Parts: sequence; C-alpha cells; structure tokens
Amino acid sequence: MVDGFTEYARYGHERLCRTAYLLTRDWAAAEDLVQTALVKAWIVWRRIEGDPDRYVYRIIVNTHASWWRRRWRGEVPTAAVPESLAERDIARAVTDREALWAATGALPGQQRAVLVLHYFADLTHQQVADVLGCLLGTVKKQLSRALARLRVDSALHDLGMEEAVR
Amino acid sequence: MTRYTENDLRTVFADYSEDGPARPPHLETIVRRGRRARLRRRTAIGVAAGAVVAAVGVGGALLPGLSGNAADPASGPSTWATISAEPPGTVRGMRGEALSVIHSETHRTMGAPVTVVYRPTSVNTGHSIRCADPKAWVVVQHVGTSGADFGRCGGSKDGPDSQHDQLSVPPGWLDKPQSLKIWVFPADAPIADGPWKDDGTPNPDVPTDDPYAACKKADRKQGTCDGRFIQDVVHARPERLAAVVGRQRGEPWTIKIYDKLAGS
Repeated sequence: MVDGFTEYARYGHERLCRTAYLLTRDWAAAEDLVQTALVKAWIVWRRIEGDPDRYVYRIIVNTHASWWRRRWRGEVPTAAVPESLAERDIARAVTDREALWAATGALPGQQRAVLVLHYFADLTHQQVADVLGCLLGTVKKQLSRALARLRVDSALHDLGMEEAVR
Repeated sequence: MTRYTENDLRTVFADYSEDGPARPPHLETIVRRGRRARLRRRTAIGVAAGAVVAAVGVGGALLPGLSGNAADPASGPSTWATISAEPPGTVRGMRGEALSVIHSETHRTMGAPVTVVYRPTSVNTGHSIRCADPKAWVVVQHVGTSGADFGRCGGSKDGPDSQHDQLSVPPGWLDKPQSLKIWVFPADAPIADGPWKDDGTPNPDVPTDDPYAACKKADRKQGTCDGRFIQDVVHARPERLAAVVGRQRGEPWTIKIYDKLAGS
C-alpha cells in the first residue's frame, strides 16, 4: 500500500503543488494544501489507489474553497492600461500576461477551479465534474461563464499575447 | 473582439506555476500525520456518540437561556450561552494571522433561516459554525452576493470554516454591517446522498453526472430523489427543504465571526 502511495506522492507532488498554487497563489499555502490532501489520501489509499487524482484534487479544491470564498466583484486588478495593437511587443506581452493572470485570480473560486483543472491539469469536462462532485452541465456552465467574464474584460480586449510571445 | 485564446490560459497557468514547490514532499510527515489522524478517528468514533448525547442531554437543564421565548420557541440568540461544540475563541487565518471573535450567537432554530449581522473590522473576516449535533446540515448564504456554503456542520478545525481576503470581499465591505443567512437542518432532514461520502471518498451509488440516476422516483422540477432533496438543490435553494422540514426548535448551534482586531 505505502509503496504505491509513496510513488504517487513523490512523482505527483510537483504537479499537485502547481495546481494548488494556481488556486491559492501562495506557494506556502499550496504546499500545505497538498500535504493535507496527501495525508487524507494516505488514510484511504486502499479505496482510492485506482484513481487517486480524483480524490486528491477534490480535497485540494474543497480545502482551498473552505478558506477562500472568492466571489466576483466586477473588477479586475491590472497594473497597466493596454496600449494600441500597433505598439505590441514583448514588454507588452508581459503586461497582457499579468492582466490575464490577475483576471483569472479575480474569478469566483469554483470558476477558477474549473479553469485550472481543465486548462492546467488537463482534465476533461467530465473528469472536472467528478472531482468537483457536480453535474457535467454545471462544469460547462461555470467554464463558459469564466471564459465569458475574461473575454468581456476591457483589460483583455486587445491581448495579442500569443503572437507577441511566439 | 477577444484577443486571447484558450492556449493563452494554458500558457499563463504553466508560466506562473513553473517555479514549483520549494521542497520535495515530506513523506515521513505525511505518513505520521496520517497515522495520527487515523488513530484520532478511531478514538473519536467511540467517544463522539456519548459526548453528543451528554451535551444534548444536559444542555437544556444547565442552560435555561437556550429555551428561547414562549411566543417563538425556536428563536432568540443566546449570546451568553455555551454548548459543547462551540467554535474556538481565537483561530489562525489562512496566512497564520490571529483572528479574534467579533460576534457570536447561539440559536436552536432549525428549518428556518437565521440572519446574523455583524460589522467587520478588516477584509480578513471569517466564520465558524458548530452544532451540538455535528451531523446537522448547514447552508450559509453570504447576503449581498451569490456565495453560499453547504455541508454537514462538521467537527473541529484549526481555522475558520470560511475566510475572506482582499479579493473576495465586495466593495464597501468595511463601510456597513454585513450579514449571513444561515439555515440549519436536522441530521435526519430529507436530503439525498451525494456523489461523495462525508470522508471525501466517491459514493458509487450516486453518479456525479446525474444525481437522479439511481432514483426510483425523480422529481427534477422540485429537486428530489425518492422524496429526498438533491444536495445541489439544498445548496442553491434551501427554502425548498425548509418548506418541508418546517421551523422547529432543535439542538443548539453557535456561529462565531472572526476578524483581525484593530491594531493587530
């Protein structure tokens, strides 16, 4: 039992911490969250070893949500006002990236969790629903709302990050 | 026209998390904590039932203030009363900051909402609710926002159940009193099993993609499965369950609001 757990914890630790960091935005809190989740996983390892990710991601998301009830305030902190498209450059891309990072951080907790699980952890919509314990339709709705909020944000209208960075 | 793509999101998430954790996993610590928790859990199972019975059994006799008033036996905060499952007086917040109680109320109302009004002293406001019956169900609606929490009343934790920060509070947080609308339902309220058990493990009887799948009689309009309310429905629309349960006087529960005190 412990061998399988040890292997999972050792090789999954960085990935889990990065996921937790995207939720907490604080490395110390992320590491605490992951350790808490792994302790709980160790206790029930026999029952979850076939698919531990689902359990561990769920503990991370729920534990984080219990501390940080983020709700949309209708504003996005951003350090710079976007310039015109013609003036796009690498420095601009960094600013755009910061704006997108800040905007995702201002999303309600569940919407951010859906984004992180789907776009960072590469879970399918159904897997995200399994982790969050909600309906597939709820995940799609939350994802759609999150993307809609980011799209309509004025700070993000003129992003050309992909083109500028690459 | 929107200028970012889904790949931009992937790039931002990957870039901002690329530093990775500062330390490798402390496997010995994890296993040690796991063993301790497992031992605590086994011990608690033996003790909990007796403790709850004792608390409920003597509570009424020792705490006459909890009897409420004659006109409305379920109402009335008893700010002086104590119950065995009371939240701690001080807690540590998410970032380790000390949080003190700025407001506390004890009620016995079940099946009907109780509004708790308080004045925050910082953006780090949090709260904890503890019930004499830890299996009682609780819905907490954050008035003025769409936020709500739902679950069993639960056991002890080191920190508050929920805590705000700079980003989570709505504008003008400190300018006026804030309120929570709390619904406590008895442990045996007609609430269907969810896709996850209380210990967080999957419940194979309830598929996550359709909580009605195993129902003999599903009422999707009302949100019930064989006469019991789906958990998502209770979370979003507690008044439906309240209409069935009805206002009643139950075992006491206490909410404490925590915040940073001025100067701390």
